[in-house]
Amino acid sequence: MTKFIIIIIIIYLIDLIDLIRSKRTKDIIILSIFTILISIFGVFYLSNPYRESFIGKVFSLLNIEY
Amino acid sequence: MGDRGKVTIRQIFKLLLCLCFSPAVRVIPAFEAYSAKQVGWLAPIVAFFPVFILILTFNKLFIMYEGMSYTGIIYEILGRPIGNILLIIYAIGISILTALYIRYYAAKLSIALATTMHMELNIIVLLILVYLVLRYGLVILARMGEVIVVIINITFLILFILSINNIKLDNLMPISYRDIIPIGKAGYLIMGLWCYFTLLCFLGDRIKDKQNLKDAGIKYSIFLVISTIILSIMVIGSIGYSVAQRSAVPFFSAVKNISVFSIIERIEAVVVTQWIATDFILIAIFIYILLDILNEIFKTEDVRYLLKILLIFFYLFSLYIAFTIFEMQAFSFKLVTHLNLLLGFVIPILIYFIGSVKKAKQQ
Repeated sequence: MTKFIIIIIIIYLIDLIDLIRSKRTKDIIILSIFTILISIFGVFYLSNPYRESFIGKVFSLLNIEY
Repeated sequence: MGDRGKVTIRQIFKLLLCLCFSPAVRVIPAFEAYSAKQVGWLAPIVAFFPVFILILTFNKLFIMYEGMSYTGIIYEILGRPIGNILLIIYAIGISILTALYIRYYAAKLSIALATTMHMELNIIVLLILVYLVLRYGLVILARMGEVIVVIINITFLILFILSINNIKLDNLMPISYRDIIPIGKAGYLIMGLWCYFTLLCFLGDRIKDKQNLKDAGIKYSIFLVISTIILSIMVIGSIGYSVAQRSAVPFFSAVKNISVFSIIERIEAVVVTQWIATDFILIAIFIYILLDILNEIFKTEDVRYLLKILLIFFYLFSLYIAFTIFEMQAFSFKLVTHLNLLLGFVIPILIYFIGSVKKAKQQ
């Protein structure tokens, strides 16, 4: 989990510096939103990788047996 | 995206052949064997007609809205708010497909070749390669597709010739009029894969010679039908429909049986090479199209800065999407085919009708 957060922060900063240099405010907001959403998803998955899978969830939601 | 390099319609169809190859060798023989048993090899003929309709639809759309991509056409016909909703649906659909194919790629490698290697490592290597290629844009990807499609076609033909001895006519017969409905069902499932043509039309404004779409489309779709029939004959003919429908990777099983005078044997490594190459193109092109859609939704000049963060997302999502290959196969059979048909066939045709009515009213 810590490794994941460090990697995300490094990647975010690399892209962010480029965008700040070229003064692209809208792109900075888009990048920040995406980074936050993907970080939340990463923390959700990595906190318990053995939880029910995405396909399992979709099937149980739609009542499909497999 | 940022790069504005253009490709030809031939390159687009060669990319389509690459996109269809990997899912084709994995699921088409299993689909056909499950739905139509011994006559499953006739199913690609049924799937040809909807593909032909799809090509004609996009040909008309590109004539009606000259110089636009499929994204531009959606905005022009449906307006920005509804267009955005539809594009978000496409983006979600493409994300699910990409994660699924990344996981299939890793699972296949684990089954066939690198049995002791961690699946996560396979995914990381693939995503790093995708990152390196996508930085250079569509033109490089299209050129890679051109080279890969020649290699896979030549090796596929060689594999077919070598497997002729194993093909038993009893496995492909009898054929009767009662098989029409099962063949239609199998054709419907194949059509779900061939609908990826619609996704390539998102790159419509990057195609130089769209006026040749109809001619090239007919030529390449006939080629696709013939090569899929050959693939099906090879798999169902050599291992039989009963084994084909139960096998996780039936094409691999058929190639494993190849033995020429006991000298040429165990050549399934060739299949693995083909898979890796075509899976790479498929995943790279899907991520490229996704970035292109996001670019249009956010109306920015370049969204390539999202590439790294999206690759991390796909790494996590591909691990989260399923536990086993059987789960993924059930998902492909029961949901993905219908999702593909809805996004790749039904929606473009509906858009064409709405566009035609709008144009007629304007005149």
